[in-house]
Amino acid sequence: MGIFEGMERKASVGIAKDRLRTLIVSDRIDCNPNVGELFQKDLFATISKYIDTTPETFDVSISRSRITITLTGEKL
Amino acid sequence: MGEIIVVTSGKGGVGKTTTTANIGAGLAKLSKKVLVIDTDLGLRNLDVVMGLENRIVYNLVDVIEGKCRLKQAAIKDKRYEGLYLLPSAQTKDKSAISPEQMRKLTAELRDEYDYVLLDCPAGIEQGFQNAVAGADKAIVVTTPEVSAIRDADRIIGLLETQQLRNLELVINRIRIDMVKRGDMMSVDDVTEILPIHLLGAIPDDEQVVVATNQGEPVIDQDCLSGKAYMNICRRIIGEDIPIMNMDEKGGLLSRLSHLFKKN
Repeated sequence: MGIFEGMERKASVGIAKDRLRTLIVSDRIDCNPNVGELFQKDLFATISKYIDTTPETFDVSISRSRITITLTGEKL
Repeated sequence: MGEIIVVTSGKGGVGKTTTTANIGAGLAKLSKKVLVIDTDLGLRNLDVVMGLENRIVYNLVDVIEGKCRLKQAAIKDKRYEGLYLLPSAQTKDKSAISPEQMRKLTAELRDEYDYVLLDCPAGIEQGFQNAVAGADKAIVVTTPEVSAIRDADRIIGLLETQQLRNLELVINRIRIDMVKRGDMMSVDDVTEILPIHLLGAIPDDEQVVVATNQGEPVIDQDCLSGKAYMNICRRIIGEDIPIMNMDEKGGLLSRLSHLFKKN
């Protein structure tokens, strides 16, 4: 097994990117790291009251000067 | 009219000074008149990286305090026509100069040089404020690590609040072997997170350590990091140079071993 252990280990880039995204959002809007997620949930709850959307087609991104809500998967 | 460029990063140890020295030498090699200024008061280092530490007479603080003229303090690098260094003061602290004084100094230098590069100290305190005060453009240096990228993002925010919006990114110390096995963020991973224009990517290269030991720039050596720095310089002067594929330059042996690995 010894030789294969290294190959089974999950690549660490995904973890680094996830941690960074959380960190940067909290740095940018000056809040606790978990606020970004709660914020996204609240926005989804509000928006889905008026617009037909699912968590899969809903995304919030935060930059320093703008909060962008993106809805994908437009229906015909 | 010359351009004032500050090289900054937030986090220490990511390669600001090495980047300043090599871009300075590279621009001089492209026949530009360049002044590199070490703004890290109390922790002078750019002179050592450039191998000019034995020729210091006056420093940045002397020039600002009017103890000497710039021409007396600027050290001419004999290896590169048109390259000059204004060293920092080793015995003063950050409060010896103010952002206002830096703004005045850089404004005067604009007529004299094609490019003025300011090597910024780590951190976001007064040393940083001094270094960025008179700049037209900032080169933000980072490495593909969580802490360095986080600090770079913070620096980008601070520069934007200071109305400095001409920002360029340099990603330093990329290890292509680690990127390939998914253990280091790639150039694309970093640019996806940091919202500024990519000026260049520098591979992690032992030759940089060797060159720094000798007080020489790497731009004249036959190595990947030297080529990457020269590419950055060409982009600064307006040439359209694609970002280097660090994988390509592996040589026959590594290409062969790569072939075997696939099978």
